Amino acid sequence: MFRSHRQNIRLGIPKDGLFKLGLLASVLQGLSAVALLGVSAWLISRAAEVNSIVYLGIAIVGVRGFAVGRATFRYLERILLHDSAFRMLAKRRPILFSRLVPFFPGGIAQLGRGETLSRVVSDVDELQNLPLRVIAPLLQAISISLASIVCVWLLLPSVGFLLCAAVLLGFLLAIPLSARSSRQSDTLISPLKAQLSDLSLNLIENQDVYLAYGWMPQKMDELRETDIRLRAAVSKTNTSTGIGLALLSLLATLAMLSGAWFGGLAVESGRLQGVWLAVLVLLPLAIFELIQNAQPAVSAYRRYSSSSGRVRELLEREIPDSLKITTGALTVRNFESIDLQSISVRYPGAEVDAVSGVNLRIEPGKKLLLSGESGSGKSSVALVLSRLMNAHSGLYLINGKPVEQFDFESVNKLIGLVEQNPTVFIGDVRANLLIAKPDASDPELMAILSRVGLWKMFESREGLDTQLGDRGVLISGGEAQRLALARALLANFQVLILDEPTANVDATQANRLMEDIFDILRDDQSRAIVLISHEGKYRSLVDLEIRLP
Amino acid sequence: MLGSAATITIAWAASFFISQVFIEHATVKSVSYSLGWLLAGGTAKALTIWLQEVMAVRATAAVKLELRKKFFEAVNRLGPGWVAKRSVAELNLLATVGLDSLDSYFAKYLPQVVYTALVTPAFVLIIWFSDFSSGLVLLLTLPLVPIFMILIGWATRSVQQKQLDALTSLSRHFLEVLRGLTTLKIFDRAKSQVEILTRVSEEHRVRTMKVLRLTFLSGFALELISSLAVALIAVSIGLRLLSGDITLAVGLFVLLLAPDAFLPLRQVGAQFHASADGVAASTGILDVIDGARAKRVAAATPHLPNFELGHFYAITGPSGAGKSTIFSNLLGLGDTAPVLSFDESAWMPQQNKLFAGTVVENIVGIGVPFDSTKLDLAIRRAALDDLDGLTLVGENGSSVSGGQAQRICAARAFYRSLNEKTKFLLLDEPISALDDERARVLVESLTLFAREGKAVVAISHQAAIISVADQVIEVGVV
Repeated sequence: MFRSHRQNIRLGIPKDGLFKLGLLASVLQGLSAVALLGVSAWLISRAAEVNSIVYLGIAIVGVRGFAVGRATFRYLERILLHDSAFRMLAKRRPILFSRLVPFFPGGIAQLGRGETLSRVVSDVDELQNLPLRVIAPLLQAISISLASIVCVWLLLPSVGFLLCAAVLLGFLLAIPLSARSSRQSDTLISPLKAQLSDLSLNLIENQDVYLAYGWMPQKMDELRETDIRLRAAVSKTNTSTGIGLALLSLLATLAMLSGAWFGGLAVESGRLQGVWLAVLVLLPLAIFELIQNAQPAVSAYRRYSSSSGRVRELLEREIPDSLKITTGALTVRNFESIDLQSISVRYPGAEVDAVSGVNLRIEPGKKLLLSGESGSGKSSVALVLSRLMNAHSGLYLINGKPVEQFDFESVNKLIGLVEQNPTVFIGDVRANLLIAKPDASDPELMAILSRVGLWKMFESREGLDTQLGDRGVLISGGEAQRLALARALLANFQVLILDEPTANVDATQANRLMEDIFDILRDDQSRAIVLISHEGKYRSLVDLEIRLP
Repeated sequence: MLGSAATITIAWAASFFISQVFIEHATVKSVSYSLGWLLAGGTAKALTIWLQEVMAVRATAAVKLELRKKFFEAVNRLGPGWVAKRSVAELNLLATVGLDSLDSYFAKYLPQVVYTALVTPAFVLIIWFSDFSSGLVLLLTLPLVPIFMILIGWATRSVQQKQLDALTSLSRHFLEVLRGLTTLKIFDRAKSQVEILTRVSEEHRVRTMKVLRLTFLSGFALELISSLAVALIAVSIGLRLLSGDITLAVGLFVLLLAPDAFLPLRQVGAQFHASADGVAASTGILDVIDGARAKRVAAATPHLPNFELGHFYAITGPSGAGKSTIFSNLLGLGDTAPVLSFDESAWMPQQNKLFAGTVVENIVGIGVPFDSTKLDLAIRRAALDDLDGLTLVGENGSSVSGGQAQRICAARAFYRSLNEKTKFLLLDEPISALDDERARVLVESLTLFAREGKAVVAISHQAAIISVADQVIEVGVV
């Protein structure tokens, strides 16, 4: 367990000089804050004792210096720590990304524990909180407390001992108390919040049905009940946060009291010069302010640690054999035949094959329909064909030679897949097309768009600058499919696999879209087409149908 | 308030004790009562801290509960037509995260403003009366805090907005390349994304740091003003102590209180930013609630006959001609008043909406007592012959086929029609996903409902419905 904590922490620590400088600034800031109060108290006490400014010179300089230092070091600390945290993130993000690449798409389901992509993203962002919200405040509080305890101990051991006890109690009692409240908030509040969010989403999404069928009042009641339970949970959590804070404040008072009592007695008996009494009494105020600042560090660490744990798991995950794509020495420009011979596909972590015994032959200019019920493994075959996944068993031959002997990139340029849900990236049409061919000119893009029947629509909007919106919300499912086809045509794949191109289109539009697609592709005599569809009705469009059981 | 009284007590008790023991050479025992005051003050302060934490949440939670209810009532009054024009995710965000961001506004910012307005003048007055010149320093430096806060706020607001945009755009970029990774791999662009990601992250860092240098400047200015004021006060007290103008007790007392005079103002500043989100969210929520108050008039629906009971109408026309809009206008789903009320109609929308629950629950409603004879009849008439009533349907119907989903929704409308004796049965594309045999059963049921005295209206482009309807209404044909 400690090992895993150590590894989690290693993940989020920036390894540059900026970070160390930032921590130094943070410690100096704490020092200035405590020293400002200490030296001020000493200055005032000393002034009451003597009658010449000569005795105060250094203290006056110190007070001014620490006042400026407190603000300046704070500023430096924040700048340096943020900068180094961002640098650290800028390194981690690409590393994580390149580790994840082999898992797409065959291994995403296996990434684990209901991992969503947006969570991966926010988990990475969370890494910055280790240096900023955990290490810096804790280090500041601990180092300054220690330094103060040592100073006080040198003045008067008994008060030093009691201050040490109070600080320890603060760290061991009050801070864990607030950690408890953050744990409660994880176990009590987060599920209720998620439930509330689900309910409210459900209510908005299905509002028409709930209203039409008179079920709305019941749904509203459900929502309100959850809201009331959430309120109870929140108030319970806050009570323990409050207790933690109150305890810290009380400990500060007790430390002051002990300083006053024992310091006073020492002054009385002449063991301590009176001028130090104010320092002993007032110092705890400044120290406990720093400890209070460090209090959120525990809950911040909890959040950090679950995020970094997940990130680490992703980083350390082994690439399963089925996703390890090997590359060979041969390059392929043209193909005479592509054969799958008794191919089976098994997803990583699965016990059984998604599909097995697949035989098919692809030849230039031939159109093939791969059909079968949903779940029969058609898309898995497409993943193998497009080299996004390895077959579990069987032979995959290009021009009679095993595919592993060919350079991966040249195969990738030969065979292309138009996914069932093609990604439409945020941005304009141009950016979405250039993915397929970064050096394509605007006229080339316009020509390809006209070919797939999209140019008129985009021309009436803003041409190639037309924004497609988040996940392509600004275009229809059929238009997205045509755009994906345009991308594939730009890349000029010799083998084009179309995975259920009409899946996201109204039933009434599907036939037209499919006929259009085949119309568009009719001109290319040499290109081979593999159409994947659960509907047998498209067999009239192809040369051969292969039906998966 | 109790908290600041406690702070003053602590400051006074500590100063008094120190000066008695140090300067007046009193014995600790003789002034130990002042330590009693110190303990009392400390206890009271701890108590207020705890109370504050507890009370603040209570108050906000009540406000949130009420606002959430009002928000959803408003959304319901505005209706599905209005929701359709918005993004569901955005509305949900407003109702959940948006409302939560009110916490910092109601629980922290507002109380802090009130507290500051009351406490800061009190502190200044107390210091003023204890030591005139320290009071003067405070009076001169305190106004600098809000002035600087406002000035810096102005200077950084637009930059901060840009920073926020940059941050979300970086996360969004990362999410976007992950989401589209398969597509990128197909076009052999995954490797180049590693470089792009590094570059974008680095650009983001440079931009963000530029902004942060400015933003943190405001914190720097505030911190500097308050600590310099304390230093100024400490030194001036020291110098006047030398000449014996004031006593040590007063000097220490003022020194201890001075930072506390700044504290509330600085906290207002700190919480101002956090509460800005809350203000934005509350505006969004209040806009929705206000928007729901608008009066509506019934939409003019041309070329529509009065739907007579006992008749079967088919509405047909090319897609995009506004067939569904007819139902939407009839039921008042848009921003117009309804012609038919929900009470007298059973409506099957075009989109098949299913919830997590059993098939039966999807038909009669979750937790609603039902009439099993009528349920059986509805199921039979909807040709729902291939699903057990207790089969679990996933959220959004993920575990049933499109045809099954459509028939469950038809059964839902049929059951309502039978059970609530609604006069109108409105169906939007009820057989678009059905095989011929089941479509035939369903259409037969529709004629049966008409014969039983309902007005049945079905939107469809399929001959199976058009051929048997008593009257066919064509939309969008000139």
